[in-house]
Amino acid sequence: MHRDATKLENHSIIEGDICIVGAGMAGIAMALDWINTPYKVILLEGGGFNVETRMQDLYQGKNTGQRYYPLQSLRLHYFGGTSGHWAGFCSPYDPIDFKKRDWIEHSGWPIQFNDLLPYYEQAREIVEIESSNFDFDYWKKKDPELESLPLDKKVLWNKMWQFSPPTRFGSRYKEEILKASNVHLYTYANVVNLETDDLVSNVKQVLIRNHAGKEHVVKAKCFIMACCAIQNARMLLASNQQAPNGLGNDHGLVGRFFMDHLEVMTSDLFMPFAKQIKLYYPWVYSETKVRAELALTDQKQSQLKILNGTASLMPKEIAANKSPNIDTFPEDAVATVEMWEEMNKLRGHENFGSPETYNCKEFELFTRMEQAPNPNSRIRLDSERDELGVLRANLDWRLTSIDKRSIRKLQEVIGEEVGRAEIGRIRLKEWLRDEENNSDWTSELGGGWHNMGTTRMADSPKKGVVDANCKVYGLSNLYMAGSSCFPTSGAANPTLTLLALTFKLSKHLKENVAKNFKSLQKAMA
Amino acid sequence: MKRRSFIVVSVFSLFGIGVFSFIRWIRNSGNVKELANPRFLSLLCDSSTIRTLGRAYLKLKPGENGDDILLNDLLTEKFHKKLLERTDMLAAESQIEERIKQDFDSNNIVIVQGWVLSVTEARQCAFFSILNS
Ligand SMILES: Cc1cc2nc3c(=O)[nH]c(=O)nc-3n(C[C@H](O)[C@H](O)[C@H](O)COP(=O)(O)OP(=O)(O)OC[C@H]3O[C@@H](n4cnc5c(N)ncnc54)[C@H](O)[C@@H]3O)c2cc1C
Repeated sequence: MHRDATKLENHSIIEGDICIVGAGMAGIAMALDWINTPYKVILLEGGGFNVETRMQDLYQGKNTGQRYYPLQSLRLHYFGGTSGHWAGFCSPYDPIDFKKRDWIEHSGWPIQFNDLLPYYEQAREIVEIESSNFDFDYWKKKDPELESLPLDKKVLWNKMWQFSPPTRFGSRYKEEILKASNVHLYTYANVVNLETDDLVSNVKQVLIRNHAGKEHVVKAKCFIMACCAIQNARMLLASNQQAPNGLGNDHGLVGRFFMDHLEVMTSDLFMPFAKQIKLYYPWVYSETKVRAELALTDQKQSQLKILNGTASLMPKEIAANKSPNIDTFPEDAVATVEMWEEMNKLRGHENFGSPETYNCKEFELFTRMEQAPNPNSRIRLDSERDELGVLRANLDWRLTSIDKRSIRKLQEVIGEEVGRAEIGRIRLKEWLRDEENNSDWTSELGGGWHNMGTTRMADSPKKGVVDANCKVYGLSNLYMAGSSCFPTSGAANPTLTLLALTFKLSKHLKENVAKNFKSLQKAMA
Repeated sequence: MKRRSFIVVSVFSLFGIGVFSFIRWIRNSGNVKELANPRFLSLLCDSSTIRTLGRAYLKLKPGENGDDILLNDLLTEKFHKKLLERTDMLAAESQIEERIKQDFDSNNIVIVQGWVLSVTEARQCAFFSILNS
């Protein structure tokens, strides 16, 4: 069921059992999981079904730290969310990503890889990739041409990636959501404030607004914020009527620990005798099913006291024509989405060539490095307001020395490995060469567009904003969905994992929370 | 020991000529030049780059700046003898290759102008730069 909130009578009251705020990847995944349950699900989406400049303008904000992407185009503010942008690269997190690593401050999740494992299958299904098996040996059996470099498995391993079409959640799941009788989707329903009871112990209702000047109230027994990492934090901070520092922010942690992956060209790899590199060959839109990146083993990370990271091989000819993402990502989100759509139409007609067409003896290594959790890397509220009256976001993205040292060490390890195997040599890029300098970054450094960590999960409210079930500490019925809950960023792109976490949350809500809805309703009354 | 080598060694010791002179003596030999050639690296870079890398290595390790020191580091006693015998240079070269592999195995690496090199091959570059200075 769908209603356009601009067309509702002003000051309408909407009621349901659960209210999901944000119909992006996490929000839609959660809503789909509640179809055919006995519960009334309210799905609130700030935008409509298409990307619009005035909606994107609500995302406008300031970047005051390390150079970053324009906030108004970084995320998409419409039904389907940033799945309208995403490239579809999927790989799960590694077990080590969840562990407390004594060489990385603030590391360790209150849940472990095995807790998420069953939900990766659901995540796989929704992003439409072939298998939830990411083992090299499994894929090698399917395609014997996938030849591994002769690596020491104790040092480096082949981390496998699969590629979603990429699934655009807005178009792919629209019909299913609209047809579901228990899911009530409201578009142009921007949440601008979460209102709690006087004790600030549960959320009573949320206030929604739109550009048509309408304001409505949504009441539910349980609220799930699925607005993406920046917005999730922004919404908590901006809901400061009852709690002056914002909701869930008794320990000043909301908005802190903002993380992205550090993605950048890091070195040249020369392999004079290379013949078969199909396994590592760059992803070709809509063609590549699977490929590998060189990844550091747990043992090596621990020995070198560094972060998790991977490197992919990019033939020189391709790298030479590639500008850094940070220089090219447009400010205009509408134009970007149109560009992806144009690219879609061209699919099947591109002439990327096959691995054999390239000189596969010279590569650039493109590194994707975990960012260490850093409390000073954060989202704050700015002094300016958006058109709907909410204070804008101010992003102060900050990196630390372990981030740069880890990138350098990864290159050294790969250099040692290809040397040992007598297959190649590596030359680090200029900006990585001075071992003493772990603070200056190349201007080419960008994030992977992966925002994480702003409402981090921890086993105590002094260390994080949400508990192991993604419930905000101190509030009995407020949950966060998405990568804002990640305590560490892992090396892999986040979406498969954030979807797995969303499905875990969904199951928890169904099994432990929804069954108490009746008594909860009485208590709240 | 072959008669000729015996004479050479004896002559050196007789006149108190040390390793340095020995190096002088052999530095123009084609064999030594071969030993100063980092085989794998030379597939990737031209000789002027190898020279530059050699000089950069010596800047990092000024204590190694001397052909005698470098040759000593590159070659074991056994290789010295082999050189004197001027036989089996291929074996000497392949032993150097083996040392390079061992360097990578044992993390005996050095980063020179961004290149992740085995210390042995970096020394080869340095030796090359001296021989070709
Ligand atoms: C260019 C690009 C490429 C990417 N490629 C990859 C990739 O290859 N692999 C990968 O894993 N990840 C990739 N990502 C990241 C991926 O897109 C995100 O991880 C994912 O979209 C996050 O999902 P989400 O549901 O948390 O947020 P979103 O998808 O951004 O959804 C948030 C939703 O909330 C709505 N909303 C926001 N605020 C409000 C409000 N106040 N009230 C109501 N609704 C609101 C928004 O309109 C939106 O629909 C990429 C991102 C970009 C930008």
